[in-house]
Amino acid sequence: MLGFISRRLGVMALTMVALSLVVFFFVNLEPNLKKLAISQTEQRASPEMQESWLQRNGYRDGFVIRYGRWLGVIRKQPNVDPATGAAVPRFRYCNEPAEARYSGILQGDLGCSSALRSPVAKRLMEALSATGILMFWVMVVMIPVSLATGVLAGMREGSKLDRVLSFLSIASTATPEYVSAIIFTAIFATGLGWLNGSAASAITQGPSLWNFTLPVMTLAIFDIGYVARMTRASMAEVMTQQYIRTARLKGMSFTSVVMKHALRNALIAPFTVIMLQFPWLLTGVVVVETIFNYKGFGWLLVQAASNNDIDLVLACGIVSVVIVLLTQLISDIGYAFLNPRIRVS
Amino acid sequence: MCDYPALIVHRDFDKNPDTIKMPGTGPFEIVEYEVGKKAVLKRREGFTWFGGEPYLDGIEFLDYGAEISATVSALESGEVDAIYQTVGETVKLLDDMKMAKEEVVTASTIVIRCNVAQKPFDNKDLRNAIQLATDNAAILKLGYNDAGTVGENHHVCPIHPEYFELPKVPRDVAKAKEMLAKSGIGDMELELISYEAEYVKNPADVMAENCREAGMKVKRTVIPGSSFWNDWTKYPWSTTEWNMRPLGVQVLALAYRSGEAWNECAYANPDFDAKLNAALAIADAAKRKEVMKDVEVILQDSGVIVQPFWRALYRHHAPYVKGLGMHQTFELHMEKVWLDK
Repeated sequence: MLGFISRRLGVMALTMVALSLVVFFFVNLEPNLKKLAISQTEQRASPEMQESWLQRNGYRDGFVIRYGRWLGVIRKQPNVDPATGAAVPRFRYCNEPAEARYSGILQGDLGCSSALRSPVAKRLMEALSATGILMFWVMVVMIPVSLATGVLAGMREGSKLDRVLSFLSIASTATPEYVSAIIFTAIFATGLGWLNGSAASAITQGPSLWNFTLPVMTLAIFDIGYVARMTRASMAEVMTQQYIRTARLKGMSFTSVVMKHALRNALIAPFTVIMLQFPWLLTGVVVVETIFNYKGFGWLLVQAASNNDIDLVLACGIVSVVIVLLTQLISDIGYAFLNPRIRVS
Repeated sequence: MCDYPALIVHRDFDKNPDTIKMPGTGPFEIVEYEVGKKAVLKRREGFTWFGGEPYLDGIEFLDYGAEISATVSALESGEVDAIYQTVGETVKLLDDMKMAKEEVVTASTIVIRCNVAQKPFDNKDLRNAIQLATDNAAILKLGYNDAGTVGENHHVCPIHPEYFELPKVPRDVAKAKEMLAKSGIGDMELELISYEAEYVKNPADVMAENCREAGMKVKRTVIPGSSFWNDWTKYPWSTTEWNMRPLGVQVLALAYRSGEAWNECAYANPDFDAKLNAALAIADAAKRKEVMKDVEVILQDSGVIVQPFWRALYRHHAPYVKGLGMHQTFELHMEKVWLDK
């Protein structure tokens, strides 16, 4: 077990290195650097001034050197003021010291966001906790509803109840977030006025039914359909097993067969599916947070990508890798706990 | 280069990394500032502002991002009292929602320009054919929701003090066909490039249709905004936007004088330069107006730009917000604003 976990952690580290190299390569392509220079010089500079901005801020140094700096194995150099020759901090809005130092991701320094003009770590923590709250409520809504739907649909395959619930789950999964978000906003915010179509106040004043229902609902409904389908399939399969038939023939009531014998076995597959929903939700939050203006991780990712904010893109990428691989690890371990016939090794 | 009015800042502006602690002379001071999130302004305490006492205790600017639905929802739910700017179809939406509208006509515009250094747009007959084939009023209506006034292809706006009114040139498809035949470009396909923003994409679509009606073969290409600006002065035939300057001569000097950095048309005409330089040297607007006639005629006749409309700017706010207008160059005058709740 311990070997398994450490191997998985090793894979995680390797994936992070590979991903960061790929992302690093792409954000440093010439058109992207040019875009960065244009936005950092307020769209006002001539090509020569943009070039000198890139030079001065170290974007023209070699790929390996810059990657090393970001990683923290090569010293980050401060800028040199061309007028006085004195060292000045690279990004003064991030309170960077004006001296050469090892300060990369290995030292815990995620760098400075050029678009948001603040340290990446600060913005990333705020965004992750905001998205964490959103995900928590999505899970609170999604898990019970989808499991109940799936079990009810799957315990009598082909019944009227099954048909109705299956139809609803397929419909909800087939509607992408950007469609359902607009429909829900039109109905509940603009039409009825019951809910707020902007979740901005959820961050400043805390989440409430008024400002948080729409984003949670949009994300949860998309997932509910999918998880319910999985639960239904698993439940339906369990219900055809020999031991269920035996229990029924023994004279046990249908309810207690479902509760005592079927449920536990039927819920193993959905558990994995639910754990795998975390990475899936990460893509969902990009859309939902943008539409409802909730400044979490998805919003941060959009800001980073659209501004070619190198440090921020890299940090977001690393966080995504951790979330995806960590949830997979948990689902693998949990699977072994739920099903003793399976060993992790 | 003459450009927008500059803000005068304290002499230590460059030394202090913290904008918040900057001394100032306005009625409000910044107390909180987070890029991408918000800026909080508060009335300066123990301070007598030269313009009198402002009504508001403070102002919060919240960043709702580019996704307009969140902004609309925020205004609708009372999360915000006013928005910075309303564009495109949202104007009508917010009108229907009984929000108060502020409107101002500006000298901001879009141009669909030919780069005369690129073939086949070095051909003046072709350029004039394009101008004649294009219906500026239709572009304004179909491509920009009628949110502005019709332009006259010479980039001087009726709100400019030196504007000289030239006779209107109506659309003339028959004459455009004639000019096209005269240009001798034959069946050549012309590519009209724009970036993604609605206010240039839709007008360019309408214009392409206009030109097709006059027998041109037009291909439309849309380039993402993020990469468009890398080469914006080089495209043979494409769209740009120009914000307003207080005087008509200012943009002309930036955009159409020979060799200027932002001369996206690669237009070089010594005659035009001489006339424009003369106009730039005249301080009195009424006298400058006389010289402007020639300047406008030369530019219009050269055919380098189709400048379909002048954009009007809009802002919506809740009905209880009083004294908040809209300004041509987005200046915010919050000192006269009050809330009637």
